[in-house]
Amino acid sequence: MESTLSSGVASVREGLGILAVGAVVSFIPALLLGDPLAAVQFACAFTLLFVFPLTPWVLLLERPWFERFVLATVLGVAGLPITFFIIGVLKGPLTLLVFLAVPFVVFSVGAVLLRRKMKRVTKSEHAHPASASAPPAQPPAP
Amino acid sequence: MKAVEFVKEYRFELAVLVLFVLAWSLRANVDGLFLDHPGTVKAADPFYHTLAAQVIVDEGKYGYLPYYLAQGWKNMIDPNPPLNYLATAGLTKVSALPVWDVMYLLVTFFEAFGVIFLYLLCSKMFSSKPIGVLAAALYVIPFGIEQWWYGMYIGLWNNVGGFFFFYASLWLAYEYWQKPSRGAAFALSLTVAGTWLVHIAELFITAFAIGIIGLKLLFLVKPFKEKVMHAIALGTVPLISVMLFYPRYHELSGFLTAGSGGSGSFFGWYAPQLAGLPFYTSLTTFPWWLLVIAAIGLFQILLNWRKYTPLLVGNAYLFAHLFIFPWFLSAYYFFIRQRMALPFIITPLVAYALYHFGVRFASKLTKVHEEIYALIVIVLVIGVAALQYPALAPMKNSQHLTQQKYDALVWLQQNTPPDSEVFFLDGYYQMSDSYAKRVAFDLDFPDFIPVLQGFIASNGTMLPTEFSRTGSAGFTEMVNSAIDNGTFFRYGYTKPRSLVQNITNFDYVVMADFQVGDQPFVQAYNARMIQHLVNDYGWRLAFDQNGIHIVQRGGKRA
Repeated sequence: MESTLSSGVASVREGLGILAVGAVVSFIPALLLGDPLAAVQFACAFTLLFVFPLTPWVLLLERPWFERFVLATVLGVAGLPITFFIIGVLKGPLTLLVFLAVPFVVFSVGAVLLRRKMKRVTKSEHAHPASASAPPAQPPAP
Repeated sequence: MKAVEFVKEYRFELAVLVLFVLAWSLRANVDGLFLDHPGTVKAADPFYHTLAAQVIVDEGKYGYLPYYLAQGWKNMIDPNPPLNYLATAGLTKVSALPVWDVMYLLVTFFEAFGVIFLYLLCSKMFSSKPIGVLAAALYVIPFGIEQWWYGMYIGLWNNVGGFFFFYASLWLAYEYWQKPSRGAAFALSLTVAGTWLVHIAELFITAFAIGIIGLKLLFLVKPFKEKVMHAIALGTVPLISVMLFYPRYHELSGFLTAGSGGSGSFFGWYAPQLAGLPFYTSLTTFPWWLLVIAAIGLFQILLNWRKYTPLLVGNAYLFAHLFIFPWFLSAYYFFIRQRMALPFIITPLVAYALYHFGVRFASKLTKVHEEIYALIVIVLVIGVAALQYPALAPMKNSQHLTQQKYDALVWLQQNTPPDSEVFFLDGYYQMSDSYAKRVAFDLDFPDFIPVLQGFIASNGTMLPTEFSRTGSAGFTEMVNSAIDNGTFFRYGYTKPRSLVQNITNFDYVVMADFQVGDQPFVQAYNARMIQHLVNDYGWRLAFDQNGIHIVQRGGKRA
C-alpha cells in the first residue's frame, strides 16, 4: 500500500482497505449493544458518514496508509457535521436523504479529483517512459 | 504486497489499531449500551445532549431547542455548540439505532481516539514507532480512570468531543510545523472549527497551537502568494463557522466567567477557591510512581532539548494553561475542566522514559530484541491499569431512567397530544422526565420531601396542589429565552412563564411509588392524591403499571 497514484487499481484497493478498517474498528465496540445486526448498522452508518466521504481525498496525499485512514476518519468526523451545520443554519433540511447525499457528494468530488490526478500521472509516465529503469545519463566513472 | 509482508511492515500501526479497538470497547462498556431504554444517560447534561440530537432527527432541522424543553416555544434558538448533536443525528438517522447509544458510542470513540493521536505524535516527535506504541498503550486505560474518565461516563460529552478536536489540532499543527502545506492547513482548519463548534472551552487550550501556526505562516511560509493561499486554507472554515455560530453562542457567553465565584469578572485572584470547584483534578490524581517516571522522561527530554523543542514548548504552555492561568483568569470551564487532558499530556513523557529504561536498556543488557521488551511493557502497563477497571462497574449498574420509568414516558409520547403538559410528582430527578417529550414541570425529590412531611404530619389531609420553582423544581428546560424572529444576527426574547404552578392546570400528572427507606408513605400519598384528583376534579387514572401512575385531567381546574 505505498504511494498509489500511478495505479488506479491500487488506489481502489487502498480505498477499500481504509473503508474496511473503518467498518471493523467501529463494529467491535458496537457489539456491546448485544445485537450483531445493530452493531452492523452502527458500523455501516459510521463508515458511510465519516470514513467513506474523505477516502478519495486522502488518497491524493502522499502519506502512509495508516495516516490516510486517520485523516479520512478525523476530517470526516469534523467536516461532515460542519457541512450539516452550515446546511442547518441556512435553514436547509436535515433529513435522511441529506445525511446520505452529503457524504456521496463529498466522495464524488474527491473521486473526480483523484481520477484526474491519476490520469495526469499516467500521462507524465507515458511522456517520460520508464525513467527509473533508464540508463544513467553519464557512464559510471572508471 | 502480500499479507505477511504487509503485517510485518505495518506491525506497529496494526498494534495501535488493536489498542484503539480495545480502548473504545472498554470505554463503551463503562456505561454499557441499551437498545430498549436510555441506560447510558447518567446525569442532567446527557439528557439534554441526547435530546438535542433527537430533535434534529425528529424534526429534520437544526437550530432550535426541543419545544418541550423550551416551555412550548418552537422557535427558541439553541445556543449550544452543535457539532456533537449533528454528528449524532446523522448517525442515528442512518443507523436507525437509539440516539443515546449512538451518542455514547461517538463520545467513547472521541475519548479512545487519543490512543491513535498519541501514537502519531510520539512516533514522529521521538522518531520512534516503539515509543509511539508504548504511548498508545499507556492511554488505553489511564492511571486514575475514575477521575480521568468521569467526563465521559457521567455525561460531559461535548467536553470530551472538544478534547478529540484539540488533540487532532495538536497533531495537525505539529505536521504543519514540520512541513507546511495547503492540505495540512485545510485539515487543521477543519479540526479548529470542530473544536469551536463542539465545545467552545477547548478553543482556549487549542489557541496556543493555532498561534504558533499563525507565526509560522506569517514569517516562514514563502513566497507571498503561497502565504496567502495557506492563510485562506487555514482561515476560511473557522471564519465561516464563527460568523454563523457566534450570534447563538453570545446567548451563553456567561459561561466565560462561570468560575469567578459570582463576581462575573474574567480577571481576578481565584487561586484559593480552585480546589473547591467541581470535577477538580490535579497531578496528584495520578499514582506517585507514574509521576516519577514522567519526571525522569522530562529530565531526559530536557537533556536533548534541541531535538524536542516543540514538545517542551507545548508542554510548558499546557502546564501554564492548566495550573497557572486559573489563578487569575476566571477558571472552571476554560481551564480547570481541561485538566481531563492531563493523561494525554503526561503520556509522551512516561512513554519516553519507559522506552529507554524498560525496553532499550533491557534489550542491550540481555541482547533480546527490543520489540519483545516493548510487548512485555505494553502487556504489563495494560494489565496493571486494568486492575482499576472493576471500580467503574457501579456506573454500569446505576441508571437515571430505568426500563419501567422509560415505559411510562414512552406511553406519554404515544398516547398524549404533543402540546399536552405534564406535572411530574414522582421523585424523578435531573431532567430524566424530559424523555416524555412533553412540556413538563418537575417537583424534584428535595422539594418533594417537605410535601411528604406535611402529608404525614397532617394524617394524610394536607395535599397542596400549588408549587413554586426552586433550585431543583421547575420546568424541564434549558435556561434561554432567545427567539428566532427571522433576522440572522439578532433575536427576540420571551418572558418566562410563572414560577408558581398548579397541578390542576396540567393535562397529566405522573406519580411513582418509589421507596423511601422501608416507609410506605409515598404510596399512601400517591393513592390519596389520585383519589383527590379523581373525586374532586373529575380526573381519570390513564396509566397504572409497575408502580407508576399517570392521571389525566378532567374538567375542573383550581
